[in-house]
Amino acid sequence: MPAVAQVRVTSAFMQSLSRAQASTIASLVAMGSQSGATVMGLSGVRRSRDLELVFVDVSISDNTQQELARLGAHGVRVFLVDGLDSVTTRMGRDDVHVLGVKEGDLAAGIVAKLPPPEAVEETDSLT
Amino acid sequence: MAVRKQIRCGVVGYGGAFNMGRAHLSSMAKNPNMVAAAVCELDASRRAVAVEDFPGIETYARVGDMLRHAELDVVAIITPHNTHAKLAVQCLDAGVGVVSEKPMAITSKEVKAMMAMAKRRKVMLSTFHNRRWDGDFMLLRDLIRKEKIIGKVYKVEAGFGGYGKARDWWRADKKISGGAIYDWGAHFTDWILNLVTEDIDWVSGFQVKNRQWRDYSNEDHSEYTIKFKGDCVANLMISNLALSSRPKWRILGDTGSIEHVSGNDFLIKSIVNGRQMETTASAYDSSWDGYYENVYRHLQGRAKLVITPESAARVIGVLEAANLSALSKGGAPVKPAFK
Repeated sequence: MPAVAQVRVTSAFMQSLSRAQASTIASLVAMGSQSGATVMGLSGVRRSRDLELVFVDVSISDNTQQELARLGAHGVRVFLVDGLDSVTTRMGRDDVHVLGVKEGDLAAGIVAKLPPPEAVEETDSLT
Repeated sequence: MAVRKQIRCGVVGYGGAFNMGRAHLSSMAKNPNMVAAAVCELDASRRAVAVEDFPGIETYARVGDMLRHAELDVVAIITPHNTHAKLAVQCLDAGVGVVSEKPMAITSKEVKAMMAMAKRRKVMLSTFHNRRWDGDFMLLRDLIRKEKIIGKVYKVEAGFGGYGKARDWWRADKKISGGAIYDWGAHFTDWILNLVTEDIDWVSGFQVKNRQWRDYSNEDHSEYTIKFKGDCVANLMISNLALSSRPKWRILGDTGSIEHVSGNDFLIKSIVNGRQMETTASAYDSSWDGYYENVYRHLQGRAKLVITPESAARVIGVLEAANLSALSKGGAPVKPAFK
């Protein structure tokens, strides 16, 4: 059934991030917003082609979560954050529920602070 | 101590200078289970003000009478600094928990006596370092300890300056106050010791008295340097003799820096993957009532005490060592009584 397949896609390519874990990158993301290394909002993330990281707030609809999870198939690390405002408030943008970080030094710096990627089981793949 | 849902609170000292007695009782009473029950104050006119502020509150002129009759669970001591220890020991010995205004006391000997009595009578002892809930400090603590945005901190500069004669009252009397650094210096020291959590190696102090301002004994410029065991130094300056000041905070780490630039704003610079980046961050909202919220939860057995006597004692150890070092004229390093 397609619905089951979609759920599997989400679990395969989105890594959960707690509020406390996310808050450790707040300043780095703020630096990125000033240097143009971050992309704010769903439409910006949809348009970007050079993203390395995407952060999605848990309040985003299931359909959108599944859409963004598919970016994982293209090498983008996608995180489902329980409280993305712990990151975006620092920039005065707690209205932002989707956030992308472009490839480059900032993304590398952020990756160094995040938990390592979770292992993805074959059975959770797109098949 | 048996857990009681309602905590009966009192204060010793209801002076009018900063209305701190009212501030303490008001902050306590924001919790409906903390009852503003009693005030002890020598000045009858101030006792009358307390009754106006808190209708029905019991008032006393003698601490012993209040301890015998008011059935208190906790007392806040809001009196001149050199009286904190004696009053705290008296209240603790009566089995009543104590919140001493900052500074906890003046000397490490006094602090040790307070801690020993609290331990003997198994009652709470804390110090009103409510500025642990200041928005700028909470931001700095997150940036440094949680985000580690500037790496390992090796230098902290803090404090403030201005130019003007101090007011001639007890707070400017060194025997009563402990010295100029025991006022705002107590807050800054508490902050510094919670940003840099390493043990202290030594403290060096330096103080200057304006020779024209002789009608009070507090020094007009105080500063100290703390050398921590892990190769970090912190310098605090509190001055009313500084026509030119410096940022309230400048903190250097091995991968970045934080500087207070204006108002609530901090400039953060960091080396990220080899590249320098920067941003500004605004202080969080302060939540000073967090202090008594924690005291209440602690007395209910539901939370650890945030401002422990040990943490407040470290502040006194630093301030005392700074005074002793400054008296040595050469600013010789002094090991504080508490690491």
